[in-house]
Amino acid sequence: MSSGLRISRTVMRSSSPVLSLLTTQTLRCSATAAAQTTEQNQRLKTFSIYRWNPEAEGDMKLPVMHKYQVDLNDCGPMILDALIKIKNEQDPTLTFRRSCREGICGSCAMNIGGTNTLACLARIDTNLSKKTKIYPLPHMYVVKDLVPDMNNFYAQYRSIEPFLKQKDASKLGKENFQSVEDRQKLDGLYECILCACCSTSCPSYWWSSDKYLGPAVLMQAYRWIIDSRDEYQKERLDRMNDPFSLYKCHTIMNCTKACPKGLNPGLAIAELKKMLATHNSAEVASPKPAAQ
Amino acid sequence: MNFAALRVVRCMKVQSIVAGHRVPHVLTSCIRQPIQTINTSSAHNEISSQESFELRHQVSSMKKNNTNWVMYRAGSVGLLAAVAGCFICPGNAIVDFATITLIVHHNYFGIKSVLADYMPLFFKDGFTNMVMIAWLIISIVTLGLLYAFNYNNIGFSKAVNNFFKL
Repeated sequence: MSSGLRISRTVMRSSSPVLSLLTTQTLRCSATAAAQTTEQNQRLKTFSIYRWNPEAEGDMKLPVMHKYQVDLNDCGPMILDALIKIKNEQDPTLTFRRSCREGICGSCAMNIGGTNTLACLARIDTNLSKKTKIYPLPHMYVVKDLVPDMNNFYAQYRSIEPFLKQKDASKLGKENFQSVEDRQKLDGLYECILCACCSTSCPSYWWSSDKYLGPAVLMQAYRWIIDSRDEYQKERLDRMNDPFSLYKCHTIMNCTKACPKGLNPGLAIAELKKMLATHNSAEVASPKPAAQ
Repeated sequence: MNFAALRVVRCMKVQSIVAGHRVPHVLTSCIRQPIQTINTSSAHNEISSQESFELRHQVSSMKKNNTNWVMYRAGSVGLLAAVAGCFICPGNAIVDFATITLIVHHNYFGIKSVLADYMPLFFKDGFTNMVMIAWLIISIVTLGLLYAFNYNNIGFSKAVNNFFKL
């Protein structure tokens, strides 16, 4: 339809008034003809979306799956495009988090077709006979519709102290030199966008999310432990030395499979376990004075 | 697990952090004050009662879990070697006793881990502890009975062999 308009504009510029009348008549006919063909050519995809309103009354109090149909000819390729289109055109009450639309902020993490991914990076399956099921991240408290309560996740992240800590106060304000090899150790760890796809795909995190830190937070703990500029390695490792924080990982490896950025939290956790194997907690509790 | 209490505790924690961030005239105060070193080591930080509840398993931990983990993995590898040894030299007393000990060790800690994962979801801590103790007693009894069998009878590896020949 838009291409039809473009052609009509160029025709009208170079035509006489009589001719322009003729072209408007033909334009009108072609527009209605075009509208009829797009209705016949609509590729309708069904989305089954989890809906729950905390302020609902009576029999609307329970969560429900709503089905929406979207014409894929008129929609972007990603699930987030479909969600925004549904919110714009069909149901403005559909609630979900989104920000960058390019897979870097981690806001739109949700369970699409059984897998935890970012909605902006998940392509719509163009098979029209199947419906796409969209749920919020599993085993998280739901604030509304597809929005999970991330407070526990953020509190766990805060608890590992994800910032550079140095014992020597005289280093403050000076540049911390780091070799190329030491910086390469951080590759594959710093790219984490804290979307929580991995942690919420871990069954161990489902059953013990108040005590087990989860793969996302553990990978960040590892990132700070192996950072050559950080001087609190032993204390950071000691924070993991209890039955739950790290050792509830049973190498299920759902985390690595779910990561939408292609990172490997399972490997980071294994490295943490290896480092803890040779760690001495007694040394951290009562440190020996450095030999002069 | 008291979900309501957890939610309240979490809300309070978030509120306290948000309140702490409301600092008026941040830039001017930064310029005037000298740089102060912040000591963030856990030994010096005071822990509030709210945090000590959330971190209770760390506060009360005996800090032995890293060595425990090494023992479990060593036991698993040792079990592989012992079972291989059972096939290589079937009647050997040392191999038989080693196999039995490692099997019971592996089983005990394996089932203990499963119980620790799933029992707290359905039962209170007191009942879970009772089941753990019951499992310990069962394991000790199993070990004793297997040792007695190994000592008095034809031996563990030969017995398994005969069992499969049935």
